[in-house]
Amino acid sequence: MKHLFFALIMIAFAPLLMSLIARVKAIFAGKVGLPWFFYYHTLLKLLQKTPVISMHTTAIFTTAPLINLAVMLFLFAFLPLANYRPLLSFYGDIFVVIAFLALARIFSLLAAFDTASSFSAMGAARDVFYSMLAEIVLFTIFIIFFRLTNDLSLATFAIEGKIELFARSTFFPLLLVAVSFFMLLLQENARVPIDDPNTHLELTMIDEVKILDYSGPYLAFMQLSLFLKLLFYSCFLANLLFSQSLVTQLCTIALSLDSNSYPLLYAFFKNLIFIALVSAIYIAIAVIESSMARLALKKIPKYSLSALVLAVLAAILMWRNV
Amino acid sequence: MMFMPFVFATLPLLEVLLFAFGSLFLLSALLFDLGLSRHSRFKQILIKRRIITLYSIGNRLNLLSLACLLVTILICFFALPVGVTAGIAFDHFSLFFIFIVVVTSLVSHPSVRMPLDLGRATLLNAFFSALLTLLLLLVLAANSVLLALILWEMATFCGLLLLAIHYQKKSLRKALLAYAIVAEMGTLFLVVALGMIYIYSNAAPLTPISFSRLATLPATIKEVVLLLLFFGFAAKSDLFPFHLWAVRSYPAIMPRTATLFSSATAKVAFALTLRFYFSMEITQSSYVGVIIFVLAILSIVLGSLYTISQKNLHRMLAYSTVENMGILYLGFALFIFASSLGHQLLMVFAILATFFFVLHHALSKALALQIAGTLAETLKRPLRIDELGGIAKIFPWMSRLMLIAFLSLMGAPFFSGFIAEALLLMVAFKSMLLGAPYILLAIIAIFALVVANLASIASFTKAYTAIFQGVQKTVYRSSSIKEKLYWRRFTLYGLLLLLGIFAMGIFPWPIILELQKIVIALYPQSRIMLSNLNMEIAVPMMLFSLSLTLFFLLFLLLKVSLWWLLRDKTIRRDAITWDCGMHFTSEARPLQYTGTSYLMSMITFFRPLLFSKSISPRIVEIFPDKKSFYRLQIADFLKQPRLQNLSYLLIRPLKIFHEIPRQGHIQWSIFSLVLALIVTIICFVRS
Repeated sequence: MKHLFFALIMIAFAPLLMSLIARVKAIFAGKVGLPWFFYYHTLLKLLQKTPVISMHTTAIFTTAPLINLAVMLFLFAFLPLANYRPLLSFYGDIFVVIAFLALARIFSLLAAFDTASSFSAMGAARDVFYSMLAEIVLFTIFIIFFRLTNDLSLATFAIEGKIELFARSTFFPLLLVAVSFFMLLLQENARVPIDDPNTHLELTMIDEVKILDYSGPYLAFMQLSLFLKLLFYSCFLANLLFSQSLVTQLCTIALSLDSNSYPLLYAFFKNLIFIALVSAIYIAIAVIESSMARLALKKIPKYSLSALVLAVLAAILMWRNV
Repeated sequence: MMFMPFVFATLPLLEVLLFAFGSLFLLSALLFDLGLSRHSRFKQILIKRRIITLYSIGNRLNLLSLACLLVTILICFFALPVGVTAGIAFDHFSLFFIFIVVVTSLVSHPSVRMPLDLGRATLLNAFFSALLTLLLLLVLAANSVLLALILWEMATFCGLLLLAIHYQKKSLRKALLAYAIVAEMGTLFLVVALGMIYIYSNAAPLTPISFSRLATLPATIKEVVLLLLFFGFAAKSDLFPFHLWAVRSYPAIMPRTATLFSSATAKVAFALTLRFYFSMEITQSSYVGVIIFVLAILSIVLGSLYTISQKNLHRMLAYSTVENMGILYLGFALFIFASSLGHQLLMVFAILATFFFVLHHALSKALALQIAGTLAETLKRPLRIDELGGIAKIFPWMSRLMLIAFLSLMGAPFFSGFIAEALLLMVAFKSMLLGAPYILLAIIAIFALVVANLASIASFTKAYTAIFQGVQKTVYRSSSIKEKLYWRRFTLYGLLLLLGIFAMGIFPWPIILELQKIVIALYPQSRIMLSNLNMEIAVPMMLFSLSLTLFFLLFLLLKVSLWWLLRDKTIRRDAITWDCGMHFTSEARPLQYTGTSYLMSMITFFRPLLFSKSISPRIVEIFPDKKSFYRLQIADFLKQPRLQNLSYLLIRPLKIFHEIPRQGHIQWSIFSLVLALIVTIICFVRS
C-alpha cells in the first residue's frame, strides 16, 4: 500500500516536474519562466475541449492514447519507488515492462500512420529506428543486472541491495551503467540532444510530430503519457542512485534519526531524498537542454551506439569484478 | 481403463481413414478433369458437374474428418495418462504435433461451397494439400524409423508437386528448382543417416527399426547421425541457408499451400529432429549443439533483417518464418547445451519454452498467411506493400484479424507471442549461469532474440500501416470488392484466436502445464525437474495473468472517463489531416509515407549486412516520363554475386541432371530417390 500511495504522489507530480525543467531552462535563458502549474492547466484545458479527428482515421487513432496512458500508469505497478516493494513483482517482470512499453509504442506508430499524414509517419519512422537501438542498450543493462542479482525482476534490481552504486567493487561499472541509462532516458523521451521538445519545425521532430493530429482529451492523454514515461525512466534511474544504507546512515548520523523510533519521520525523509533524486535528474535534463543544441538526425545512431559502448564496457568491468 | 489406449489409437485412425477417403474423392475429381479434353463439349459440361460434385463431397468429408480429428486429439491429449503411449506412437508428443497439423489444415481448408468455376490448379492444390496433410499425420504417428523417413520423403515430394502446379510463373520455377535441390540434399543426408542407423544397430535390411532401438547406437555414431538428421530435416524447415525456395514461392502459391508449408511441414521437420534426438538418448553433444546454434542465430539475424527490407507481404512472412524457425532451433540448441552440462532444470525449461513457441508460431503465422492469401485472392494482385493502402476501410474484419496476428508475431502482451518470447528469453538469461564457454553463447542468444523482436515490430508495423491504414495509394476497384469472409472461415479464425493466441497470451499457465506432458513423453526423467520448474514459474505466470487484469481495468477506467468527458460533445470526424495546407492526403494526391520510406533509415543502418544496392540514374530529360528513378535493390544473402559464383561451382554438377531431360525437376527427384535407395541397399549389403 505504501508503494501505491507513493506511486500516486509521484504520478501527480509528473506535470509539476515538467514545469521544473521549464523553470530551470528559463533561469539559463534569463527569463521568468512558466508558472509551476502550467502543465496542469494545459491538461485541464485540453480535457475540456471537443476533439477534431481526421476523416482518414480508424479506431486505432482513438484507441492509441488510451493504451499509451493505461500502459504508463500500469508500469508504475512494477516500479520500486524509494525502496518500497512494488504492487506487482515476479520473476521475469522486466519482460512485461519492456513488452508493455513496446505495446504503447506500437499503437503510437500505428496511430501516426492512421491519419495518412506524411509528417506523423516521418516521426514514426524515426521513432521505430531509434527505439530499436535504445532497446539493445536496455537489454545490455539488464544483462549486467542479471549478472549481479541472478534475477529478472525490477524489485530485486532496486531493493535487494545487490546493485549499489556506492559499493566499492561495482562503483565504476555501475557509474557507466547510470550514464548509459541517462543517455537512454534522453533518447527514449525525445529530449535534447536527440529531439527538441520546444521546436516548432515538424521536419525535425521525433516524438511531437507523431501526435500532430490529436486534439482535445486525446491530446491530453497522449501528453500525460509522455510526462509519465519520462517520470518512469527517471524513477528507474533514481532507484539505481538511491542507496538504502546511505539513507539510513544519513538519517542516523546527520539528523540523529533512528528508523525504529521514528518510522514515519524516517519514511518521510526517505521519500524526500527519493523525490530530490528524481528532481535532480529532471534538473540535469534541463541543464543539458540549456547548454547544448540537438544533434543532427544522422548522428543519433552514433549517440545510441555510444550508450551501448558504455554499457558493454560496464559489463566487461563487471565480469572482471564479480 | 484397459480399453483406453485402444480407443485412443482407433478413433484417430478411423478419422484419418475418413480423411483419406475424402482425398480419394478429390483424386477422382482430378482424374476426371485430366481426361476432360477427350470428350465432346456437351459431355464436358456433364463431366464438369460431376467434377464439382466430387470436389465438393471430398472437401466436405475432409473438413468433417479434420474437425472430428481435432476434437479427438484434444480429448486424447487431456485424457491420456502422462507418459503413456497408446497404440501407434500416440503419445503426447505426437498428439501435440498432430494437433498443429490438423489445426493448420483446418484453418487453411478451402470453402465447401460449390465453386462455379473450378480450375485444374484448384483441383491439383486440393488433392495434393490433402495428401500432404495425410502424409504429415502419418509421419507423426509412425513408430518405425524407416517408415517415418519414407513417409517424410513422400511428403517432401508432395510439396514439390504442390509448387509445380504453378509452373507457369517464372518466380515459382526458380522456387521449384531451389526446393528440388534443397529437398534432395536433405534426402541424401537422411539416407546416409538411415544407412548408418541400419549398419550400427545390426538390423536386417528393410526390417522396421523402432525409435526405441536407436538408443543402442554407439555414442559417437549417435552424434554423427543426429547431425545428418538435423541437416536432413532442416533442409525442409525454412532454416538458413535452405530458405530460398520458401521466400520465392510464398508470393506465388495458394494461401493453403503457404500455410501448410510454414505452420505444418516446418514444424513436423522440427518434431522429427526432436523425436530422433530423444530416442537416441544423447547426453553429450555440445558440438552438434554449437552447429545448430550457429545456424539458428544466422536464421534469426538474417531472417529479421530481410523481413525489414521486403516489399511484398508474402515474402516478408516467408522471411519471418525463417527467423521464427531459427528461434525454435535456438531453443533446441540451448536445451542441448544444458543437457551437455547435466543442468536438468534448464533442459526442461528450454524444451518447454520451445514447445510454447512452436504452438504460438503455428497459430499466429497460419492466421497471418491465411488472411494475406485471402486478401491477395480477393484483390487479384500481389500484396506489394508500397502500392496498397487504406485496406482497413474495405476489409474491416480482415484488418482486425491481421492486426491480432501481427501483434502476436510482434510479441505484444495479451497475445501468445509475448509469452513465447519471454520464456525463451528467460531460458537464454538462465543459460548465462551455465559457465564460461556458454556465457557468450547465451548473450548472443539474448541479443538475437531481442533483434528478432525489434525487427518484427518494425516490419509488421510497416506492413500493417502501409497496407491497411491511410488512404489508397493505387486506385483499385474498391466498389466492386467486398469482404468475402464467409461465416465458416470466420468461425474458424475466431476459434483459432480464442483458443490459441489469446488463451496462450492471457492464461499461459494452464497451457504450460499441459505442454509439460509432451516433455514427459519425450523425456520421462523430467518429472521431478518439472515440479521444481513449476515452483519457479507458476507464481510469475499467475501473477502475470493477474497483472493483465489490472491493465484491462485501467484501460476500462480511462475509456469510461473519456466517454464522460465527451458525453455532451459532438466530435468532428470529417477533418482533413494536418498537412501544412498542401492537401497531401487527399484521394487525388496520396503523398503519404510508403513502407520503404518508413524503414529506410533502418535499412541504411544495416546496409553492410543486407548487401543493398541503390540505383539512382541521372535524370537527363527536363520533363521525364518515368514516375520514379531511385530504386533500392536488396538481394538475399545467398544471391550475392560472390556467393553465387561459389554456389555455382557446387550446384553445377547437379544441374547436369536437369539438362538431360529439359523439364527435369520431377525426373531429378525420382532419380535422386532411386540413388538414395541404391545407397541404402549398399548399406544393407555391407551390414
